[in-house]
Amino acid sequence: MKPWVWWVLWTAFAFGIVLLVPAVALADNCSGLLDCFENIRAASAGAAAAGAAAGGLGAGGLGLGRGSNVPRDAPTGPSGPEHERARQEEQRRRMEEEYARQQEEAARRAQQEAQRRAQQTAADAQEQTRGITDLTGRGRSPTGPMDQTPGGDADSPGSNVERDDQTKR
Amino acid sequence: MDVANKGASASADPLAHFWSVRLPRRLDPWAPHLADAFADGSWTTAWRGVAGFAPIGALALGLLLMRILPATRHVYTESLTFMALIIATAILSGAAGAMLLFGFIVVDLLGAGSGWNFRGVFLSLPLIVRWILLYGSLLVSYLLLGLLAIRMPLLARRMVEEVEVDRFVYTAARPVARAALFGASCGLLVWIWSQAMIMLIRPVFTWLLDHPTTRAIQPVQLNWEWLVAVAVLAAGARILLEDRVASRSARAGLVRDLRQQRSNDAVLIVGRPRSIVGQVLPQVGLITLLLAGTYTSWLDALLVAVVVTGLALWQRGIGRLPGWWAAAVRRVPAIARFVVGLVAGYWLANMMVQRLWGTETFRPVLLGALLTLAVFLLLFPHPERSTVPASQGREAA
Repeated sequence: MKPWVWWVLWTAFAFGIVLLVPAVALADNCSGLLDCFENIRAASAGAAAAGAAAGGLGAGGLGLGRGSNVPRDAPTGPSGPEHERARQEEQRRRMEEEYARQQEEAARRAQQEAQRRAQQTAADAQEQTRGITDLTGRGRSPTGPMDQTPGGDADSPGSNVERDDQTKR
Repeated sequence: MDVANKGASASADPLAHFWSVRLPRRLDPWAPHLADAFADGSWTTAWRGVAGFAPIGALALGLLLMRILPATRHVYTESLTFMALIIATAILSGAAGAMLLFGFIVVDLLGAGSGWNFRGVFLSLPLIVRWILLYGSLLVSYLLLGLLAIRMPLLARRMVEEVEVDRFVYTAARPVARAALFGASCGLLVWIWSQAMIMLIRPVFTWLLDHPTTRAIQPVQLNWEWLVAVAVLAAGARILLEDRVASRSARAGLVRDLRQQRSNDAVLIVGRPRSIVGQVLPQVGLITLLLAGTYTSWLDALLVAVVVTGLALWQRGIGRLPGWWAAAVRRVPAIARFVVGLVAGYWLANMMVQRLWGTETFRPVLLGALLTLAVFLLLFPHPERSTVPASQGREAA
């Protein structure tokens, strides 16, 4: 519900009460206490009941939360303010956990990316070193990045010749 | 809840899904307690067709009630049968109780004033004033009936849920213990409502410049034990039946599914913060209207509005109750606090009424009611506001 709709509704409600309140002044307070209650005890009980009805039943001000919001597998279960707080706490905890999980995931990915880059840098450096070694006619390693460079062994698993064949197929 | 389960109840019993999930979802922003009342009927899904058609049947009954029970033609407190019917229906199924109330209000509003004998002094008032007085008094009477049909069963249920019956009672006796506790809570609340109605229903007459009739007051003042008995029996039957279907019904899974969906909706609603004005204004307006039967002059209404505003602000924002007090009272079960509040309210009201009995006005009763109200606000501190931002709640949806 939009805020302005809320305010219009409650302003109308308040205006209605203002309209109704003068009606109370017009009311013929026809009977005194004795007409409604025979004695002081009955009147006191009526007063206490009116206060309890208005405060307890009426305005929902008991802070007991909502009626049937809590799913109950059994007919009764934990509820009330403690349960409501616990429910809100649980929801907050879940959100915090979700946030922490996302942060952890992001950190893990960043770490992986950093590792990959470091490996790539190391590989590049090794490649450069290997290239220099080849040019100088020194021995070659049976495995390693240099095997996948153009001019590598065609029988080796990652050779460019085989990749080219696969691409053609 | 996974998506597959979520759709299970909607496809298996679409009408029950409508009353228990879809309609409450729509009502939540406007009338959360009414939404809860509709969701309360979900347990009857255990029987095929009951959850779907019981509210419709209750609506039809509410529409026909005027013809069946002509005694309710002026005000419903004239008919003990009507009040017993609405108490039993509301306790057994919140959705059926709400629809019975709705049907009754529709017909009552349509027939308002017809066949009534208004006093000459009332008829001499301008039409607009007569209209305001007539429909204003009816609004008060419907709010009071709403307490019985909507709020009473939910509050009783909530209070009972706080008592950890399982810790003190053997497994086999637990359903009976719960039934007894729920019955006692409903009986207590119906008694309170009956005693309060002696005065609070007066605007239906006094706003029309008339005198309350004995016929309208007697059923709640003298025959309240019948209403209490009906409430106790209906509450006991509800808990025992609910316990039975939860353990034996083949459709118990559907009931759980509906409740889970409702719970998911409600958690999001609870998480939405509302301004203090938005919380206090409805409370003040409602209590000011509900206590209208105790007013001697418009100054009393003003007094109630000011006092309740102060109490509500104190309870929620300005000068919040000390944390140690709130923590201490919350350790006591709500039903015990309710009884303590009632006894303390009676004691305070008794002192007030004794001192001012000679005035023969309702002012001492009004002051006693306000003192009781203050005791209740003291014993039931408002829960902390949610720490979940609304945006997060919506995202979670």
